[in-house]
Amino acid sequence: MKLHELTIRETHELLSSRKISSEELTRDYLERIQRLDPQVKSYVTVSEDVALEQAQKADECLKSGEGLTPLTGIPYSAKDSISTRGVNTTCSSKILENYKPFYDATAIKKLNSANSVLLGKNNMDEFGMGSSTENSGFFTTRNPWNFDHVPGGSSGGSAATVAAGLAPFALGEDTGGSVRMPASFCGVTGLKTTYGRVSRYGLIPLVSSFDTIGPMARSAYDVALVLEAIAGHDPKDSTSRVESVQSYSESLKKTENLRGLRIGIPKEYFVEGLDKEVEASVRTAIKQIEGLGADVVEVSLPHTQYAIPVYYLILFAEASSNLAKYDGVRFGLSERTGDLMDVYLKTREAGFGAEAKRRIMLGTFALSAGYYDAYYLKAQKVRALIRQDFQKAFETCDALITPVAPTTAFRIGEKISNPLDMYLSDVFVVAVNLAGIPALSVPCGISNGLPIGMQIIGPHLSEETLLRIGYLYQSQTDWHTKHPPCW
Amino acid sequence: MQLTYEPIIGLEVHAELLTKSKMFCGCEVVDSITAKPNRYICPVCTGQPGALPVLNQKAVELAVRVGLALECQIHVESIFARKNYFYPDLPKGYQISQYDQPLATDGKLLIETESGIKKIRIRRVHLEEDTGKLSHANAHSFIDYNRSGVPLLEIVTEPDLRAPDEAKAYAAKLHAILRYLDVNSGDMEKGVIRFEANVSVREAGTEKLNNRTEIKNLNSFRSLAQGIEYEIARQSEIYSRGGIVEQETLGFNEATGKTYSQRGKEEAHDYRYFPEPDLPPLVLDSDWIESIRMTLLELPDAKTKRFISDFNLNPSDARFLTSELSLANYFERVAAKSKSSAKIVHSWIAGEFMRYVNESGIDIADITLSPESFAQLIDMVTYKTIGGNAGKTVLVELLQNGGDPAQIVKEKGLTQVSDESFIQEAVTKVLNDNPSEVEKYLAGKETLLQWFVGQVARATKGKADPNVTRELLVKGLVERKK
Amino acid sequence: MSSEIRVDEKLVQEIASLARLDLTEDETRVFVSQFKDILDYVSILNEVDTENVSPAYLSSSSKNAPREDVIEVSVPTEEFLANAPESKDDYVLIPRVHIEQ
Ligand SMILES: [Zn+2]
Repeated sequence: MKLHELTIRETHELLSSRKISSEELTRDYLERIQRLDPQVKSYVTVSEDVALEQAQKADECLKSGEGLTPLTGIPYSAKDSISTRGVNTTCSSKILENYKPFYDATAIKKLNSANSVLLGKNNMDEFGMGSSTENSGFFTTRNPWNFDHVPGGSSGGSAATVAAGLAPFALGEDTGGSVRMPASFCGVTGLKTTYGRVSRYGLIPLVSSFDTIGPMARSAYDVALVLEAIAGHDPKDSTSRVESVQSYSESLKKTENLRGLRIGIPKEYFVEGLDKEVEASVRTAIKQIEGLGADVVEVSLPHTQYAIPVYYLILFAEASSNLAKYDGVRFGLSERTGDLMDVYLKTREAGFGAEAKRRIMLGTFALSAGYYDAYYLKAQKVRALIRQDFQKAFETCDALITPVAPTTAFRIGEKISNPLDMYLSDVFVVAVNLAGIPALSVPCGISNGLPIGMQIIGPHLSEETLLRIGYLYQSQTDWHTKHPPCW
Repeated sequence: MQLTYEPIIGLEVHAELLTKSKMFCGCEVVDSITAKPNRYICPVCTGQPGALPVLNQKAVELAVRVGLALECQIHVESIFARKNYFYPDLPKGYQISQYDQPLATDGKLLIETESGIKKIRIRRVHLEEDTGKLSHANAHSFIDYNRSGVPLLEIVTEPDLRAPDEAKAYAAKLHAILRYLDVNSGDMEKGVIRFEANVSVREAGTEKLNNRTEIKNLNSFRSLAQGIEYEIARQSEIYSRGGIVEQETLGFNEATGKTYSQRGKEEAHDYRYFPEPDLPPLVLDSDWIESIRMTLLELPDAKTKRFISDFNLNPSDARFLTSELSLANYFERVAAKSKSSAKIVHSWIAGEFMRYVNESGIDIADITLSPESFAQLIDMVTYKTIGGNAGKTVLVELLQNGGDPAQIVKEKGLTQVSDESFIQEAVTKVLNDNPSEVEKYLAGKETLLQWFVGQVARATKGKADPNVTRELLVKGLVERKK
Repeated sequence: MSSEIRVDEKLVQEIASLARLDLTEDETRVFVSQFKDILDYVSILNEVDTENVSPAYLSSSSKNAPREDVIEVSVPTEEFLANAPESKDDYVLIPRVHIEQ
């Protein structure tokens, strides 16, 4: 068995019994990245020096046995919107091309103290603005299952990395499906966490009120291991949740069936436009979950059709404000010709891609005097109704199951010329972000050589339930163990 | 016929709050004039991507204190908002402020005007963060972020002020209150309090609402009054010519005393406010608000009233003593220890003591002379152990070098003598030694009496009781007339 | 929503200036048409009755948990300035901000 084929759990056993060293493991991954990533293009930065240094530190820890955690010595990668001290953090934007933060995001700090090993930073749509990584300021990541197709977005680099065996897990970030969609397109397991469950400190924001860091890995169990390492209250993030973190992996080990659990199937998510094979796979998966003892009922989320306009209006507004700091004054790209106004205009002209500019424009418009009530305020009101839909559904259900995306991964270039068409591919994922609730994307089929994912949605802080459903489903099926041809 | 114009003035006051750390991060608040640039900074206050604000509890407490002192309604729930605009001293591209749900609203402040007490309504009191500091040389501007994120309190009046002097009186009163509450250092020259005035004028007697201008960077009481005065004249002149005043933001040039247009610097204000998603609503416990209310000190107005009734002082003396908290406290402590009347204590403090304070530039809070010693000295003069001039000498000695008043009096041999025979000897000698002055006095130049008193004081090294001296001199002079 | 708003090149240029974006004529033209499409699409929200709905700004129900007023160690000046496009004497340097007098 090759090292990159092992799950985190299996790798941990080899490391802790000292059959392999973290340095060997890290070198193995670095070598694989060097060999395969030129085709997959999932990394923006490979932090080889940092990785080897951290691996040596992990080996000392493994040797002494002190402070050992399930992630000690395990390599990983992070979406390039997560700040890493001294390692380029670009959000795949030219405007941050050479930006090296002088501080670590809290999630990275936590992984550092667990002695995990940072292999590098993953490509993404610029500042998270996209559903395919085609909006990266640098290059498009390819879907490891078929290089002509997109990996999904915006955490497309992270999903492709895990799918191609270029890291055992990755930290993704989900603003409006950015973990779940690429996880589904690339056939990996990805968790969109409850808003505030993982600190956002050091996560470069797209939409501050939607952004969540979440793990992407090869199984629900591995996702649980990563989640318990990075979750928790952070005094540096005023929106982070104070509730204590459960031992997710321990509770998975004890779970045997889904008896007593009620699963809702929202009828609005199985409508026209949903690919037949995707629907069939998800329905089969629901049957299997029923077979594990869960009750399945149909529910309604009546405001579903409004989720996309609400999501985008709020996104435009917050993003236009969050992207104002990229002005060529303190860091990042700076075009220094002419006066200060020229610095602003030329830096932003050269630094932002078309999608970023479009969203900044729309957000500036939606917030400006005279339009605020009609757009931003209206959207926040409808958002309240969408949230109520979920609250009602969770009065009778423990979780909901839906497809992640209406289709499998589309072809590179297929939607890039029509922004609205691209926005519509987020139809099943954005409502979850409006409500701030968690959702797990689990592989549940393959169609024409491309993976299909199902989405398991739960109420606030229900990560344990979602992981339990995913874990038991994966104990009965093998979709999550299938590998792309490039593997 | 010349029309007269009535000014309508509203003030916005920005006051830095006296916290140890900044509003949204743990960086130290320092004197941004003397500190080395960019030393007190972190990811949060330099707007690094991904950094997040965390509110400083102390800033909230100080803001509530001010809100209560201004008799505002304190809102149990208030929210922070982003004010979006581009400027190089604003690292995030937006300022975190409060907009449509501020911490406190609907307060008031009473000021004294020529026509009596006037109520100025306070529209709102809210928290926001300060910007960094720009300086300029040749082709470049230099940015220092030490001040970025320092907590600011913004206090906004309704347009209730009607004259530059009223604006000045309001500003001075607010300044005193902020010092009293210990929420602001009061060091105007360090820019810890800054004013913005909204000014419009209209024909006297009408209720018209004309365009108003906003004068920024008014950093002293003097500039405030000057800027408003200039603006009233400028606007009146425009209307008297039949013109229209443009609604705009103006700067103020301290050197020329004139306002100037800042047009072109910023386009029309469109700050695109929206609720700050990084900060949940600020929810205050009403018991906590009450506990702050309990700790509120007596404010200048209440103290003045008490000084008038308890100490039997006249209003202007009482107002002088309460103009600064440290002064009022010092006065009260000296008065408590002294057997002399409060009026006498006041005259000592307002006179020699304040002269020393003003000349030395020392803070009253840093005065080392104990109220007990000061009271002892005052009583020595009141009960004639020593003379008034000797007392002043001793006071300066005490203020400069400390020590025990009785000891100093003894060492310097200043004890006053009212023994007539001793004084008579000196009086006779002075009159004998100065026949021409005696002649002049007798010819009608009675003001010379004081000069003779001084000669006797000199001859007795200040020990002679001046009243006894005066009596004996008059007697001696009258005798010589005969 | 969109029906009353005239999306034209002038509006797009005004927005661009507020957002400090310098758009070419071509970009402006493309934005005008995309703006129209997108605003038209989001106008579907007009169907929803929100008369008695209060807006839901936040994603978690958390209250603000302020911190104690305690001084923390600041970041070394060099680390901050390492990313600055231009700096001098520990200041961040920019082309002179124009001041009218
Ligand atoms: Zn700071």
